[in-house]
Amino acid sequence: MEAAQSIKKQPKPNPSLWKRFWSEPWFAIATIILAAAILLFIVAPVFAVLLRSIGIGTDTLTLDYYKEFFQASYYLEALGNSVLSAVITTIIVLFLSINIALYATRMKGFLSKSYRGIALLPLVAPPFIFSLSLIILLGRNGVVTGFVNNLFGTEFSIYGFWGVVIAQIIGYFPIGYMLVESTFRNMNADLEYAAHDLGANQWKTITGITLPLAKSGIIKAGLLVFVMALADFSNPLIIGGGTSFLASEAYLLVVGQQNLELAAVLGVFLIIPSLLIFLFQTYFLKDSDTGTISGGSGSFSIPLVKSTKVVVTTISTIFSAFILLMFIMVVLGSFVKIIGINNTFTLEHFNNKTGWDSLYTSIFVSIVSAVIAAAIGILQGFLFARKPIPGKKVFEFLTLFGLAVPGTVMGIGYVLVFNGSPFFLTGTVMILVLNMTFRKIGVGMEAAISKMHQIDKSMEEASGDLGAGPYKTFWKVIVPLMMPSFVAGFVYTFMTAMVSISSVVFLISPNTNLVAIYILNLAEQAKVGLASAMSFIMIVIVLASLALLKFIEKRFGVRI
Amino acid sequence: MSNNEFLELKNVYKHFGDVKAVDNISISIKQGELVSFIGPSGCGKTTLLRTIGGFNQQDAGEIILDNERIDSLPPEKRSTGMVFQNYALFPHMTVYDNVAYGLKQAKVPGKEQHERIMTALSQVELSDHGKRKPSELSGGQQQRVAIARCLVLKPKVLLLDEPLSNLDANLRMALREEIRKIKDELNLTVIFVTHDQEEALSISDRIAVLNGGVIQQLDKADEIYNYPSNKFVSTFVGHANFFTGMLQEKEGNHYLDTEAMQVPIKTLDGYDYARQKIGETITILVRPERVKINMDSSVTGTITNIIYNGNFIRYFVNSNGYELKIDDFNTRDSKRYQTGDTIGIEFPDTPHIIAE
Repeated sequence: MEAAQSIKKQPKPNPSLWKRFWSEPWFAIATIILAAAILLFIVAPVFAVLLRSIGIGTDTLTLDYYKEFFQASYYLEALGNSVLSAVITTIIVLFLSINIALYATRMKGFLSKSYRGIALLPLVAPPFIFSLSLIILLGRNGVVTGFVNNLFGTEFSIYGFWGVVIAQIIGYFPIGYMLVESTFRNMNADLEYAAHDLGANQWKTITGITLPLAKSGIIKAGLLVFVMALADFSNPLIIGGGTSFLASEAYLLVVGQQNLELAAVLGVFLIIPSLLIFLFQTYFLKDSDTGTISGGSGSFSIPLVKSTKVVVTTISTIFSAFILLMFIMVVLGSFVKIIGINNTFTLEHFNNKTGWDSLYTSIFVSIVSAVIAAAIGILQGFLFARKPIPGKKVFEFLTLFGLAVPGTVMGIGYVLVFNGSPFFLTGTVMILVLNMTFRKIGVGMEAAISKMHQIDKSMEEASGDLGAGPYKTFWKVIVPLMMPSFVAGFVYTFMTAMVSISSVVFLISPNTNLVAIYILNLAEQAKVGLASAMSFIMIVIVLASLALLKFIEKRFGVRI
Repeated sequence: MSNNEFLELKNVYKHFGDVKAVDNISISIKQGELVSFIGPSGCGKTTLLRTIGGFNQQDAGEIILDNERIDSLPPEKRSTGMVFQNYALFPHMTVYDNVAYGLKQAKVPGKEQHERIMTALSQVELSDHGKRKPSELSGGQQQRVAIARCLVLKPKVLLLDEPLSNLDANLRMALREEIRKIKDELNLTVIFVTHDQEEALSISDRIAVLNGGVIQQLDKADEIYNYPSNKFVSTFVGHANFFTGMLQEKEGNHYLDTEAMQVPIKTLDGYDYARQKIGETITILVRPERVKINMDSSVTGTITNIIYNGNFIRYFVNSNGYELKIDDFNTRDSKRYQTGDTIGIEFPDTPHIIAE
């Protein structure tokens, strides 16, 4: 390790980076096209938002829009509500993630597996579906609203700030949970055994050893959840009542008032925290993982003992049951006439041509984006992991940056860039595909780069030694080896594209409506039955694609 | 119960599904004794150690430490100290805090805490490294912190799980001696798990050779090496030539009639001699260094391969179809043979009979 670093530091006697870059011209051309696409579809829209917020693109350079923002207490309130709900959501998600991750990593058997599955379940639904369930359950005509009103003796309403928080907790829980769980799984179990051996009980071990060691993973999870919750715009629209939130106000400004400038200002306030957190994660958090992962122990995490088990099991069970309840509500809502009022079985909610049309558009757009994103991921992973590229670090950074940009900002940016010459793309299917593809290519690239690092370079050298040129080696050796990454990238992008909403909502036209947005509109109008039915179909499709992935994993023995 | 049995395991079982990791093991260990568990991977040695430490719950059996049954206590209630293969130092704490951790759990008062930590650190010669983080230490130093972290709690038994396997050869030798020294100074009872037979032979008062979850032999190093109880032990510890054949007598001289040759035997070793009868089929063990090259011998063979080992030279010799190993001690002036040379083979007077 040290030796490798000292070699790196020596000045390399290389001819020049550019010369080596051009030594394989087709790869060089591919890299340039890729770089141009990243600049156009990730960087330009964000800059467009920043510039528009100070009036560039209109006639005058001005700070009036910021003045307007700060003078209207309404928008400051929106900022406050967004930040506060994101903070509360993050704290609760982390608390729940730690509990359920403790349960899932330390307990065996059916329940442990089910809790883990349930914890990930919200991923298959659009993030606002839990607002819908909450309305079914506790809305004005909710299933248990009357009961709750009697219980407290007051008029109870789920609409408002706390409704948004609850919906966000469930919707963004899986993201926090996945990170926390993988941190726990990668931890060297012997450290905990050592703590026990030295006389600490399980409480002290978890609080004094496990959690401090998982710190960086937990912080990462928290930051991610915070950014997602901050940029959330669909839950406030559905269940926010009159309470204003930043992202939803930006949306209303664009769609309702065509006020792109003020929307851009709101976008700036959305992007600043995301950008700061992204920079913090990229540059400060990476070095602190040492120690949590020092494999080779071969021992399993310590099972929970009595007192810890009671607490962790109780919390895990209640929350898992709650998530399940949310899903059950949607399923029930889609199969009865008007849930809570007329509970007769019906299939009429499924008889909805607009809905099915939007579903087909969504599937088409998602598949196309997923194929492109997965292919780009492999190509980019290969190029970035193996080839000399000038400015490689910058492009890697910009690709990942695409993941950190709030969808609302990206959407407004796309409207700004592609709604005029030279790119008239708004209202086309193509802009939806481009948006979905480039927002997510960072995931595919990261996965592909890490996979490339597992593939020994000698494999390519052997192929070259046996007479294949660099391009043939790429097709015959790299691409087949990267197939699992391709499938994983495809399924991931497909799933996220199906449920994505915050960015594409700015880009649809009457002819290119997407199902997630259609459901959002239904939910806003409190058309619970129709919204539930379309959500149900969508969940089934996403779950089916996941099942297909598992089947491929099993059938072909590849770990994806 | 006498002081002879400081740590006692009685009929301990631990199965993982169909795998019998520990299969009816009973063992008694004296106070101040260092016992090694050796065996190939999967033989159950680590499982047995972790069962004593309380990290596994045994399926059946009793564990008694210093007249107290400990087999149902959690690890934190047993006075055992475990040193892990990968050290398991807490990476977010300094060396000092790592050593202090156990004392804090036991709520030892501050002043005494400090004194005991400094004593433990000086025992492992790391007194001035207290402020460092584990990541700033070398592998050998990390290992010694792990030992100090246990010593400071004055455990009744120190459990070491392949503690030296992540270190390079020279450091292994040095730490081996150090562990032995600390053990003697403090009269510690130590269980030492390793897969390295040389390590076990050099460090242990007694060695338990395990295979398939069963103790094959528990004995002093010299006994294990020279008088292994079965074929597994003979091959796991040291190298072996086996000869199987019928015990015969001709003109008052005994010999073993194998298919390839007649191995002369003057006396059979030890305890099972009286039971052996002429005409019976037995297997004997002859270590390669006990076979000598003697041109006057009536048994001859051809050298097929030679491996130079530094302190000895190993000749592979084919005698009438039987391949045997001869280790010739390298005195610098001893005669060198070449591949293809025909040599005479002299067997030791007292070969060791082993059970199949």
